[in-house]
Parts: sequence; C-alpha cells; structure tokens
Amino acid sequence: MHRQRNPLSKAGAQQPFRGIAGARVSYRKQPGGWRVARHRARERVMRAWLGLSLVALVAVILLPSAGVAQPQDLMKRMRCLACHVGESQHHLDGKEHQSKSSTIAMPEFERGDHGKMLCADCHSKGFTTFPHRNMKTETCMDCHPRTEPKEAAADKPYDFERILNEFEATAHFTEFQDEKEKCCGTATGKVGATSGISVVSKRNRDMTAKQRFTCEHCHEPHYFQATARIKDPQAILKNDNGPCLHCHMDGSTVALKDPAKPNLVAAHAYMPYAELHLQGTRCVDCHSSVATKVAHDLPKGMKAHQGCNTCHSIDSVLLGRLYRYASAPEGTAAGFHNAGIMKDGYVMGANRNRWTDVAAYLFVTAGLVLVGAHGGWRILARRRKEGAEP
Amino acid sequence: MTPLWLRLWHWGIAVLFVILTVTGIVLTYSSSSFALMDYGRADTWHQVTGIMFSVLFVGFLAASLTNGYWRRYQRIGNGLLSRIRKFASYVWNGAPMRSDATDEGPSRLELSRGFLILIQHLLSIASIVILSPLLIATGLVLYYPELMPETVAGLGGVWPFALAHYWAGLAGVLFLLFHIYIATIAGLRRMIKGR
Repeated sequence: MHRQRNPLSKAGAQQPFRGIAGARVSYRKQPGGWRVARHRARERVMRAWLGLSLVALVAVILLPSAGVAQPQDLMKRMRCLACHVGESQHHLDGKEHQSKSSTIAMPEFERGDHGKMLCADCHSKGFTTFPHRNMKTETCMDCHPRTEPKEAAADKPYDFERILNEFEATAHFTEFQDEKEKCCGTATGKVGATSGISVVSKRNRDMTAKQRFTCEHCHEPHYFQATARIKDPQAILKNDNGPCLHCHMDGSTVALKDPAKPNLVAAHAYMPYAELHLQGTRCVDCHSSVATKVAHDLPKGMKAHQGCNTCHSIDSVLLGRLYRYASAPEGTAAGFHNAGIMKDGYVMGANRNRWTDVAAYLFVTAGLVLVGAHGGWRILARRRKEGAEP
Repeated sequence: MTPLWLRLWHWGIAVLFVILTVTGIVLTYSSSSFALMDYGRADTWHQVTGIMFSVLFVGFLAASLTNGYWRRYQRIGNGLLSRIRKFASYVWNGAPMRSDATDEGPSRLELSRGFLILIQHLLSIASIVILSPLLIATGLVLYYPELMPETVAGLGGVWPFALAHYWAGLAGVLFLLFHIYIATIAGLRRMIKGR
C-alpha cells in the first residue's frame, strides 16, 4: 500500500515539498526563467484543483444514494481522516504494521455497524485541536442500550444490563480491573480489519494484559459487525474468533500459561478431534453459557465444557448461535435435519436424516413384531401341548 | 465341535458389538437435554471398541484362512439360499408328505425352527462377508474426517460415509435382534461348550 510521509516529521522535512496532487514545485532556476516555471506550476495546481472539484461534485451527488455519510458528515469526518485514514498512514512509533489504531481502514469502518457515525460522536472531547489534549471517548455503555423506540427495539434482545453483569464477573474484567483504561482499540489493534490479526506482535499482546479490559477489547467499535449483519457462518467464525485468538493464540504469554498445554490444541485435547472443533466453531460457542444466545459469562477451562450433546443433538444449540442465519435448502430437501450446518461439515447427532430415521423405526419395529409373533407362537404351542398332556 | 478360539472370538466380538450398538444409539439419538450416557464417553467408547472390533475381525479372518476354518462356512453356504426357499415354502404350505405316511409329520412351528436355523447360518455368513467389512470400512473413514472430500453434492463431504455407516449400523442392530432370538431356538450350548 502506498504510504505518505507526514510532512511534519523530520524525514518529511528533508524531502522536496510537493503541492496538491503531487505537483512538484521547484524554485530552482529553469531554462526560460522564473516566469515560465511559475506559470507551469500554477497550471498544474489549477488542473489538480479542477480534478479534485470534479471528484467532490461526484461524491456529493453519489454518496447519499449509496447510503453512506451525507456530504456535510463527510466534511466533518475529513478533519479527522486527514490524519487518521488509511491502512498505515499515521505511524506513532514508526514500526511496520504498528499503527496502534491511530488510523482507520475506511472500507472496513463503513461496513461496520458504526460506519455511518461521525468520529466526534464517540471521540467527544479534546479531539478537535491538535495535538489532542484532555481527550474523552464515549464507551459502549454510554450509548447502549439506545433509547429511541426503533433503536431500543433493536438493542432489546442483547439485554446490555445482563451482558455487563456477566462481563464484570469474568476473569477478563476481574483480573485487570485495577489497571489503567486505555483509549478504545489501543489494546487489541485493528482486530476487525483484514490485516489486523496476523501482524500483532508479542509486545502488543503483552501490553493488552496491562490494561483494564473493556467491551472494546473484543468488540472493536470501528469495525464491529453484529452477526445478524454478517450471516455467513464462516465469516462470523472469523470475525468472532479474531479477538479471542489475538491474545489466546499459540505461544501467547498472557494466557494458556500452563507449560503442559503450550497451545490451543493441547489445551483442548480432552475433546475428540480438538483441531477440527477449534477450526469449525467459535471460542464463545463453548466459552459462554448456552442458556442465552448472547451470553458474555466466559466460563474458564473445563467449566466451558457444557456437554457434547448441546451441539451434537437434534436440537443442537449451533442452530441458535453460529448457524443461526444459515440454511442449505438442498440438504433440507434431501431430508437432513439442521441442514444449515452441512454446508461446512457434518455434526454427528445434529444432522440426522429423517428418511433414514423413518426406515430405522420401520425396520426395527418390523423385526420386533416378527420376533414377538414367533415367540408368541412358541409360547402358545407349548401351552397347548402342556394342556393336551394328561 | 466348535474350537475354543472361535468361541472366545465370538463372545468377545458379541460384547464389543453390543457396546458399539448402545454407544452408536447414544451418538445418533441424543437431544441437547438428554443422553442415555455421557456423550463424550459414548464417543470414546465407540471409537475404542470400534478399533478393537476391527482388530478382532481381521484376526478372525487371518486365523480362519490359516487353519482352514473358512471351509466350514463354505460348506454351510453351499445351496443355503435354495434350502431357505424350500423351508420357507414348507412353513407356508406345510411339509410334503408321502401318500402312505401314517403320522402328521412335523408341525409348522417345528418347520419354522428349521427355517430360522438356516436364517442363522445366512446371518452368520452375511455378517462376516458383508456387514462387518462395511461397518469397519465406513467407521474407519469416519475416524479420519480430515481426509474426506471437502464437499459432496454441495454439502460437507462427510455425509455419504456417515449415512453408509448409519445404514450398516441399522443392519447390525437387526442382525443382533434376529441372531439373539434364533439363538434361543438353536441353543447356546454349542457356542459355550463347543458341541
């Protein structure tokens, strides 16, 4: 990705100054004199302005119809995005892929649930001037549950009060509650962005453990998408496991410290086909209570083992969780129960076939009837014989 | 005379088959709130007994081929289907009697006993030639799900093998039902004392 240097940085100051749209303005004497050089430079600047105006005009016309931010919102955002947009435009420590969320990947942001919000809606204090001082950023619970009738209805199934109570009883909260709270996203990095997960350093993970744990550590507010919007189970799996694996990945120093169980597969070895289970399900499918659809209680270790048949059964809880929005009409037509799961695999006990079930009931019943009939015949014959004997 | 090794093998494989049947039912027919036994334990037992079953079966094949015991099955199998058909017609129509016969001849119940003993022979041969190899093959394939094709007919690739294993298991349950019932007619003495 193309990277621009910050013109205020030392390295940037040593570069020749570039005008808008990269028009290079040279003050050295050109053949033809200063007047020709200034005329050419002015001409390039004019072309660049014309180009930009055209782009802005198209944006003003097209953006509202595309369902993204209104032009006035766009202009409000532009103040922030001038520094904070792009994959790695604004480096705090100058290290590759270590942006610490100081930049926003706009395509992913706009796809997220908060994609139509303004930066200042959450970054409410201290961000309008640079350098930023006395900053305040709103937290999730400052807005949720929302109170407007339509939004309140959307938030109701999540039961935020219960979620908060459950979260505050977890090790995530209790172990770090005395640590200092950092600004949203600084702990986890851009976990929702496509490039965020794989490049997290050990140092970054270690820092995570020294911060107070908040909602934002898992639900990165810039990129968060509710599963209801993602729908595809594999995308939900990737999205939801990302924040967990950010810290609990193999070789992590902040979790899974048991040297006898150095990695995730070893830690889950009690489970048959541990690797397949880890690949095919979300961490929270077991590490949250199956009693509610959006539980945040995160039971640890073997407490997370809530019985194999919670998933491996005809009324598998997977259908209310990871596969809540999945369907496979071809599987349903072929007679399979819970066919939505079968796009990705076969879950023993959950993917029974109704025709084979019917056949099994008929065959076993017929077998029992035959055996019973012959047995009855034998008993009757014996009684008759005994009755006939003097 | 039934040799000791075969009697030991028979009872060993019978115990394993019963465990496989019960655990197979648990694995297939559990609900989220009820299972006949702990689901994880049922899975472990099913796998362990399945492997033991496979080893015992391969051992039986090797022993039979080495000591020539397989010829007994060849003998039993010769003309078995035509004998079954014949006894079925006797059960249905009554045994043919000579015109000068003085007594009533065997009753239909006795004829049905002969018929069921022939069915027992058929079940024994079918369980060795078809049922057990099918159960072992499909079970082994399910034991290595990571080696399955990614998809079959647009769905995850495990399902054809799971269905085949299910059907083989269902046939095994029916085999067990009839085998045990017919044993109450033919008697267990031969498989305990050897004669």
